[in-house]
Amino acid sequence: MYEVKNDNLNTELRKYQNLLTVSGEGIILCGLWDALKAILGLYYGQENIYKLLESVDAEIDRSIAVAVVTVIFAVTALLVFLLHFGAGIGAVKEGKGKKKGNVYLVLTLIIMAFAVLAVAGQISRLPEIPQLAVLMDMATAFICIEVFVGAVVSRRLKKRIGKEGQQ
Amino acid sequence: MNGDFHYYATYCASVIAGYSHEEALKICYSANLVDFCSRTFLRTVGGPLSAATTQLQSELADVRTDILGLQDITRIWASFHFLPRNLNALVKRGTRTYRNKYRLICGPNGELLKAAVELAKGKGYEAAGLAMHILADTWAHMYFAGTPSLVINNTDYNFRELIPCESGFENRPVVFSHNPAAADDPETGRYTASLYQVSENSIMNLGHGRAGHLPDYSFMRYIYIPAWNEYREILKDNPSDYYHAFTQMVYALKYLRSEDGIFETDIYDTESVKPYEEKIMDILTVRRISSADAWQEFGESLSGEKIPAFSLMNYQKEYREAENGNKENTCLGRFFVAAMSQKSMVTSRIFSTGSILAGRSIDYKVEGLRGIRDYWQIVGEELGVGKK
Repeated sequence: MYEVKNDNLNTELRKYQNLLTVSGEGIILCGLWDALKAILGLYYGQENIYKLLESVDAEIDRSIAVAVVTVIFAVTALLVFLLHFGAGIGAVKEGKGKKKGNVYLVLTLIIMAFAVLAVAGQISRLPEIPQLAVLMDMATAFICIEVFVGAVVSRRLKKRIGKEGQQ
Repeated sequence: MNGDFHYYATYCASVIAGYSHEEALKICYSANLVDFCSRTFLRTVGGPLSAATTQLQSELADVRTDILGLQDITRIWASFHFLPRNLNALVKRGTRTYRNKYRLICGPNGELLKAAVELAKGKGYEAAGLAMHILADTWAHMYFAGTPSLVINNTDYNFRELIPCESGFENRPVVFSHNPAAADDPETGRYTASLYQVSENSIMNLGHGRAGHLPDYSFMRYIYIPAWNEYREILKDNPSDYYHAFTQMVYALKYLRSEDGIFETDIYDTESVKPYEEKIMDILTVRRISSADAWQEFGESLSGEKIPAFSLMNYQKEYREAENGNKENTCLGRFFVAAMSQKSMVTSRIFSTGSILAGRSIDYKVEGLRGIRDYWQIVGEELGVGKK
């Protein structure tokens, strides 16, 4: 009727595919957090933006300047989220055995690099920086590592299962 | 399992086991009543609320999931619909809470099943029917636990249905929707299941809610990975399991009908059922939501008598009109006592393993009559103890 495959290789494969799926969902959530952080930065950092505008010598219409800065923040937030979403959805799809690709791994690498750089930059200024933000960046880097582990190990296991099936 | 099996198939098993038409009707009525004997029903007839053998959706919507609420839910669902297979199961890794929940996973041929069937011996047709419901559900509800638990009862996207086709079996992913008003559709593979809730004790994670009604359909064959099974797949072959349930019911009913004898687990009366095997497998494998008509026709061909449709109104008048003190001698009265005895036995067994998931159990011989008043009448006279 149906051969249940519960040997070690297959159960390990499911375990790592599940890791990939859950980590992919985690990256998407981290993307939401980063986008939210950008928007909150705009909202709570208005004074800094005004100071920045005032320091510019050229005469600029204040409302236009605020609108431009807002659009830049919004676009950045959207791009950050899309970067995370692309990486996350790729991991989820491969985890569910639907589609295998390397683009999401490249995106994950970029996210991890940003997260590691952010953590390195923040640790030296820790008392000034909110601890939650540092923890979230550390978690993002950790989830990215999990995506790599999930992808690499599940691909290796699939190969081994394929080879053993041919023998 | 649905009413078609609990009512009509139990009738068929009773007739094959040697019961008369009238006796078989009482047995199958009680077997099916287990799915209807809610607190709402008990309030309607004026029965003891502790005899509840099920909870309606409207009751579950209003239920508390604090410790007392969870114990009430577990007492009902683990006792009558998800009888645990092994209360001493070993768990390699996990907390005590996880271990206690893991031990409540339902399955056939456990020690508790033997105890439940033995408990029904000599207690009348109502107790026999109640035991048959429990026995049948151990096959249908295998791998799920009668307590709300995400880590035990959850299912994931990896849920596929095996559909017979010319080349063998087609493997089709199951699409679960969460609209309680939507009907299941075996043709398209769209079924209704409870919502995913991250809360461990959410009522959505009770029993096989996360797998919808798939365990209740006799034709269903499915593959999935239970949350507790460490990434190992499970193939659930309902036609085979339901056939096992039927043959075990015939064996158990013969035991209950005999003067003496012993009930052993993992024994099936395939010999008596053999002449009807093809017919029964035909009924079990047809892809339809209810096989009541086919079972009814089969039952009527066995006994040569007309099988009336199940009605909750049966026996209500007899119970209502019986005087206090004489209610236990009515059909519903005997059913309520059997239900409370079963619930008491299961609660006591679970409590003896160090788990309070089904509540505390009191040894009346030591502590006297304490706890829930409804139970006093079961044990009070028998043990000759009074209230402390």
